[in-house]
Amino acid sequence: MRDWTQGVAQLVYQQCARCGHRWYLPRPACPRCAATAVERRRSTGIGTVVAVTTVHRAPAGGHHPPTPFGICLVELAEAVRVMGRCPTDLAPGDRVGVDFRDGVPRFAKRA
Amino acid sequence: MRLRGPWLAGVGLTPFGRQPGRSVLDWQAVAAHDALDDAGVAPRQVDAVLAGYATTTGHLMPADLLAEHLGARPDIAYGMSVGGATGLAMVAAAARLIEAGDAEVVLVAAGEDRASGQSTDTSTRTLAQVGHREHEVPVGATVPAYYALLASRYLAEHGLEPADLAPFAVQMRAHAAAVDGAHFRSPITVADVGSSARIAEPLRLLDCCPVSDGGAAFVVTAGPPRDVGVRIAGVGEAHRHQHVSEADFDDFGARRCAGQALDRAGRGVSDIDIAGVYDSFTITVALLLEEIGFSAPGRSGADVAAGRFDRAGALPLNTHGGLLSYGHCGVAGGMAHLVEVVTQLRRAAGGRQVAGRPRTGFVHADGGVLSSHVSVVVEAA
Ligand SMILES: [Zn+2]
Repeated sequence: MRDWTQGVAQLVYQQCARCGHRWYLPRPACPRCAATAVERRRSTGIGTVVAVTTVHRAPAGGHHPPTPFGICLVELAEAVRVMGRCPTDLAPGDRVGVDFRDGVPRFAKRA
Repeated sequence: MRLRGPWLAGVGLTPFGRQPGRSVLDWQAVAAHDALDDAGVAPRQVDAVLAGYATTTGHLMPADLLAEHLGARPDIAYGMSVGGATGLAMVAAAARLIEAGDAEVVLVAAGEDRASGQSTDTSTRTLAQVGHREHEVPVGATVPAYYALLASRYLAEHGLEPADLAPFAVQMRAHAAAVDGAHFRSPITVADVGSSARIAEPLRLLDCCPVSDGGAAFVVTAGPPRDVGVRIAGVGEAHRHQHVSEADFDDFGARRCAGQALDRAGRGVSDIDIAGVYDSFTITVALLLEEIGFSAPGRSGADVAAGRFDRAGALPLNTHGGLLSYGHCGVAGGMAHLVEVVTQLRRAAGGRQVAGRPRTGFVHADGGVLSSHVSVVVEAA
């Protein structure tokens, strides 16, 4: 199952078939119990903002939109943490959903 | 009773700042010669050389390069790379080599033309690579943004404002005012921090350390030094995540790392007379002080504002000005804190010497996004 880094507009997390541990950054084996029976699952993309920053200085030649832009960490409903872009009006605790208009995860408040 | 080593027999620290004209190897060699002279050791007596990475050159074999340059012919040479904690990690490795009986005289050195050897954009892009190549870096994050995320979460958790972190920048600058060689020495106020340029909110320019050129070095020995002895009483490390996406915000690793070093030294946080704690950003030192236990959760900013970490306070902290004001040239930046603590324990800090007779010092550094941690406890003999 491919994700946004491979051209498919979705967030994918992994779950260990042996111990049930879930994680976001991909590995071939469970980082808790080392089992290689690992499932890839699609996330709903819904979660809660843990932290947010508005970036005003970003280097030329980097991967970023025009400044200022927001970056957030979101705890997804599936209990994994994801980094994405966001509008600059989010705050920790906000309920958000994801889209991929920029080609990367972008979180915004849910109506 | 004759105290056991390992001993911090020599220290070397250059001025930090924008100082064009020296290469990585020049900075390392200048600092190394200072530390060797301080210890009264010749390069040929060194049997292990540990050298830190430099972002401007990325040489594959920094320890061999430095050893050849100095005319050392060591049995052991390691280049090391754990981000900002590298300097203290090299000191910890030096202590272990000596305790194992594998070396008698270890040279630890780092230095970099980080400010003048590359553009700010290049430096920022290089450092951002501590993030995940596919899942974090493409979002557009930089190191200030990673730490700003930590600051956002911290301020929200404790109901604090960005201005509550600013006193760290003010205190570090007040310390640096008395230090020759500091990158920035002009006094600043909390209002100055709050009106400085926005970098990655909630962090502003004065919440962030500068990028500097400079170097630092140590000589760690099995035998006692010729005059005032400072020994390494305990070291600790913790490496619990690389990426902020997977960090445990309630256990970055600082507490267990410091606990290991303090336990080995037979000390607790209340025994510490002087400290050096990594302060790449105001939020960095706040989180580290609180996780280690030098301040209650959410209280470190109030503690620094009340003078607790002043040169004349209950726990003098970063009395050289820290990364925020002495400056940050990469690996050597996190070594300057230990140079200062050793200098204070030797009572050789001149006009900035802390009062009383400090005997026990604690130094902590982190690398990445609170990813790698190293603590060192040192004692005046
Ligand atoms: Zn598992």
